[in-house]
Amino acid sequence: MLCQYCGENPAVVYIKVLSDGRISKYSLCAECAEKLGYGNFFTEMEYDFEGVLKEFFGEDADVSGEERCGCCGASFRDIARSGRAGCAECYEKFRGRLEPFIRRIHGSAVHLGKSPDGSLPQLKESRQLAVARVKVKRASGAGYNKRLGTVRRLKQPEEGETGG
Amino acid sequence: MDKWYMEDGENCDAVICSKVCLLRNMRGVPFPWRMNESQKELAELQVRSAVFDKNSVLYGKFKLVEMGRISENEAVSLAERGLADADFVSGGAGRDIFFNGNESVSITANGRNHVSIQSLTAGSDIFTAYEAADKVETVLDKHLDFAFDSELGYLTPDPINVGTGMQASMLLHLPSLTDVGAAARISSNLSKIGFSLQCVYGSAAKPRGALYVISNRVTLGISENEILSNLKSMALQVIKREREARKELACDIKVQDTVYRTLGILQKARFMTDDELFDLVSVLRFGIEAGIVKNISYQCLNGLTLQAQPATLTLNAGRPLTQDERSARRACIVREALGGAG
Repeated sequence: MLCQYCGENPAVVYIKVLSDGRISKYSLCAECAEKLGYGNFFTEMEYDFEGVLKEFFGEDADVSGEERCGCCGASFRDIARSGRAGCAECYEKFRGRLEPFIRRIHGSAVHLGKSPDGSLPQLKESRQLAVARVKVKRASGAGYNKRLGTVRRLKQPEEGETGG
Repeated sequence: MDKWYMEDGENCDAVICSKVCLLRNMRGVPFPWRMNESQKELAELQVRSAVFDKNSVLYGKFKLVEMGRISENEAVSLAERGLADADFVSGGAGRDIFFNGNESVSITANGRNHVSIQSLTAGSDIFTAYEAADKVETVLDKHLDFAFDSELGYLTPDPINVGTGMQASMLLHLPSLTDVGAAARISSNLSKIGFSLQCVYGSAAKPRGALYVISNRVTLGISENEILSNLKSMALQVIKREREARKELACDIKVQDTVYRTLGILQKARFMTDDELFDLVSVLRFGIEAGIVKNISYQCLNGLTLQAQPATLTLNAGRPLTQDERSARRACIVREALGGAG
């Protein structure tokens, strides 16, 4: 099906909008979806899912025996095709493949926001360091040197481990 | 109880409302798009028991609407009132929506995410919207095992939302920047620094109603507070430029004439389509913002705009209406709201 907006490219994003008291469905190509603010994971990165698949599987990918998530059964092909992960465990199963895309879109792969209370494991020391580095990078101007001291203190054990 | 849009809001001469959505998903079950019926039902029941827990501060504050038990018109009205998006309300059975008395906070279950907590405030006070959503999220977190990764943060079906899992946005009315052709340029500049400014209706080349949504694109590697501060700061810069452009336009007698003619039509018309009302309200809102029209409040305008939307209008009539009947009722609602004012 062709994009209903430009009428030229194949539709890859399907949206629903309110129109005169009804829900209307539209099919859009990646470019128009992005232009109209309906981009998904891969359209945001100016990728189409075929491009993502080729990047990981090559031109003649063999679908038999491909890895699947133990929780939801999704393969990376399913994720690339839909632009969505199948479940939370998919992020663990396909972390190596998803993380570069996530980093490209967000400019980071280190969470700095709210965390659930209590039940969580604390950040690993290496992650604490990564978080501290991001924070210091941002702390330009006043206070930079003070924060840098914190990072240096955190960095020592890591260096010690490497050396040992 | 007055709805949220009938309250005063800061910078309401350019910001209609602020919205924060916190997207959360449960560990150990597929995301909604890969769930089977029994998994959907189980997730639905888990969210219900979390919202209706008698020991919770949320108890008694939320009304439940099961999407499988309402008419198409009722479902569309939920979207018109901003309680959920078009995608959610068209999903049918297996989805729930909970909302509070003034409709400022809603919780949807089994939409694109297992749980989406949305909070709306009038004007630009996006921190108040966040606080309300965060309070609900903190309570639900005690009952539901939200999927969280120490590196990637909250996990969502769409990898563009991982991290804070927060979508923050403001609905801006920018008629002057649209008129001078600056809105598209500002939108392009904002996209380079991680923000999006999209017109709500029409296309970037031909926006309708001068309504734009400014929102965050980055959700990972940044805290909620930083996202909100940055977004608000960007929005304030945009509305500063709108106010400057507005001053010049407001002095033009032809512009003033257009505003008064528009007010005349709104106060006297007997038949009005949804599209016509949409265009006229944008002109009248500009007239109020520019100080040309006095004695009509933004709240009045917000109220009539929402009440006159097709599905909400039909719902309030209590019976099915033809398109012509809707247009007649719409004109009546507008006349009553604006009659004698200005």
